[in-house]
Amino acid sequence: MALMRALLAILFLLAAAPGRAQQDTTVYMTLEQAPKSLFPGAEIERKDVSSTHEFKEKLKARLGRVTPTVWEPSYSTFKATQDNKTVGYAVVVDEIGKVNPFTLIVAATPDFRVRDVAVMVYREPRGGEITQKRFLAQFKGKGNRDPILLDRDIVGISGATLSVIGANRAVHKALSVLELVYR
Amino acid sequence: MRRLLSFCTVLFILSWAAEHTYAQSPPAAGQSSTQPPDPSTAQPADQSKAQPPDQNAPADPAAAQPPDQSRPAPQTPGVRTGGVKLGDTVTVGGYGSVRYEANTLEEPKPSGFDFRRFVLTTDATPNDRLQAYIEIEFERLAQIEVERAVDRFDEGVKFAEELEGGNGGEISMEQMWGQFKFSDPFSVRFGMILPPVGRFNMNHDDDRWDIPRRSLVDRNVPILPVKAAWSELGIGALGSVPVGKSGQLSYQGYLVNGAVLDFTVEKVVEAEEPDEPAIIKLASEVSLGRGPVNGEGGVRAGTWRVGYSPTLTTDFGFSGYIGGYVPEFLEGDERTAESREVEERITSIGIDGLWKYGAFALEGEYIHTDFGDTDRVINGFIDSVTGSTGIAPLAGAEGTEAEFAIKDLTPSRQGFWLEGRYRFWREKWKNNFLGKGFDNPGLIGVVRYERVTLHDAIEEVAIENGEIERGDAETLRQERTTLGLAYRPLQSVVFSVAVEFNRRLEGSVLLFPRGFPERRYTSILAGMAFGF
Repeated sequence: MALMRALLAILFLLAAAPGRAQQDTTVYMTLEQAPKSLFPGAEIERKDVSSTHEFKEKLKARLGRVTPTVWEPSYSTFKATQDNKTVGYAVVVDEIGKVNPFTLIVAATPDFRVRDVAVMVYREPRGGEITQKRFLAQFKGKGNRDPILLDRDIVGISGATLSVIGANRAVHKALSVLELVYR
Repeated sequence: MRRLLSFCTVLFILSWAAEHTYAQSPPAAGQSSTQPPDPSTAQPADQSKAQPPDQNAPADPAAAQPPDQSRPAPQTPGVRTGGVKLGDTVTVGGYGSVRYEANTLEEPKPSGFDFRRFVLTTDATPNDRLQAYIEIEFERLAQIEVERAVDRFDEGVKFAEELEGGNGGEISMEQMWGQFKFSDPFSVRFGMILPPVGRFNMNHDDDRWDIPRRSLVDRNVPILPVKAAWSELGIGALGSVPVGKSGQLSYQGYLVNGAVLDFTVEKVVEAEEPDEPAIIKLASEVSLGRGPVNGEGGVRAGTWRVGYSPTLTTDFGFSGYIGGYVPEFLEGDERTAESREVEERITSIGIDGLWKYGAFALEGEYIHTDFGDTDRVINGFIDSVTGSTGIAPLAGAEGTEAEFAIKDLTPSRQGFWLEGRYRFWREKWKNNFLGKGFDNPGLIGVVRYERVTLHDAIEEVAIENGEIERGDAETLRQERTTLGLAYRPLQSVVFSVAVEFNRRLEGSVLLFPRGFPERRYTSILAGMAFGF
């Protein structure tokens, strides 16, 4: 009984502790750095797109079965050109992993297939394996018609399942946004 | 107790309300009003973590990634993902499972509905370098009820106590540890931990598996020194480091109190002969169990695992456990030379792996456990009970019996399981009863083959009614092939059916269920497991 009391007290005191979620936040790239990192040497043209009701409805229709956990009010998108030729597009999106959102930048080729994915901000102490190169490399070449689903065309990470599912949603959403804006 | 609970509840509600009034809460899944964070304004605690882009780098995923030392620490072993968030620092999760079994065994037939377990987990992370984790299990436990009464009457007084509960019920603290992260590749964990022998003990959550029964190696026989989920009290270090372009090397190592032969006292009321008075029987049984948690017995053991994952689809590990298991009360009397030498050790070695190729996964584990010279342990037990005379205590008073027994000793055990899984789904099923409303449902076909061997096993040595009964040693071997089909509407919910084909390969009785004489039997299982 004494043990149970001690456990309960510890549990509730920890729950009552002031919020310190910011301490778990790791910023890997800022909004300025991210597109340059994905398209080195290219000229970057930024375009902020407001997620109007009409845009959101189109996005929903394009996403189909995929239901994002975050609906951004606007999207920072980028067009990369080199020698007057479009080499790709990119967009910044957020999705929830376990309980907090993480921020990804997804770069696409001119035919809207994933060229690169990078984590810009990760806000949780768990599930951080999704920032690993070996995980993100799986998305390369994926298009919006691919399943991009755990255990189908994406290999999961034991212990980071929710973050993996979140990353899958984020890539789907990013490709859909880019298609809506640039196609 | 009630006041403490009320106080804690009020404290929690107040803190929760304050946090949600003055701070922005994280967005909830599925809410359209959820606002994303602004990465352009997100400031790291340590600005050096923000990696500037390399303009000369090639357009390669690696170029967009931070250097390895900036990776968040990998998921700590034994910790569940998911759960319900309480405040900013505590997540409550858990899992539960039930099963139905029918089989071709004769009486007493172990069949019917089985409440396997319900486990509650609490994960407290007040800071990304600090973590506490608690896992409490309720296994086959529907109720515990204690009744106590004092009756005073003219001739005297009566004190009575009654304990009610179901057979096989258990409440267990499976994990309770705190962890301090010195750096990504090095954390220290202190408390009740899971010995990382093999891969099942660390990943024992029922919702993770597609067959509604645990393996012979880890649970039913077991080959592990103590059946899974096996936990021990101790301290150790763990971490992981990236190796090469896509590899990951992980390690865990702990010093623990260690598994030990311990005793239980059984009370039996037995009617043996017609027209004879019933007898009251007390039996003291010594068998191997998890180590003490009361600060007695000393630190006896060490356990470790080194894992290497060259790619995301491959992972294998090499693990072990070594430690003494003979308690002081069995080491006997110093007057006899042999009994002084009862210092036998458990040595377990495990090899395990997981390999994935597309929708196919192959996972397996091999464990070998050696218990040293178990004859010495048995002699130590006999010496202890007989006072080193070899003469068994006489029978007790009429109507009573006392028995001393040591159970289930085997000089060495070994076994393995190998499981193949194939996940499949057809898009045309998305609107039928299996797919409707779910993002990524799946069906999984699974095959598991297991084989276990107990070498020279002695089921029991009993000292009773002035006699010492020593069972014959025999090698027991059993194999089991399981074919199963699982349906996962969500990643953490599984409905499964399976057919098990068991065959006794050596010895006079089955290893699981222990003691049944059948050469073969078949079981049909249907189960459900959920996690949150």
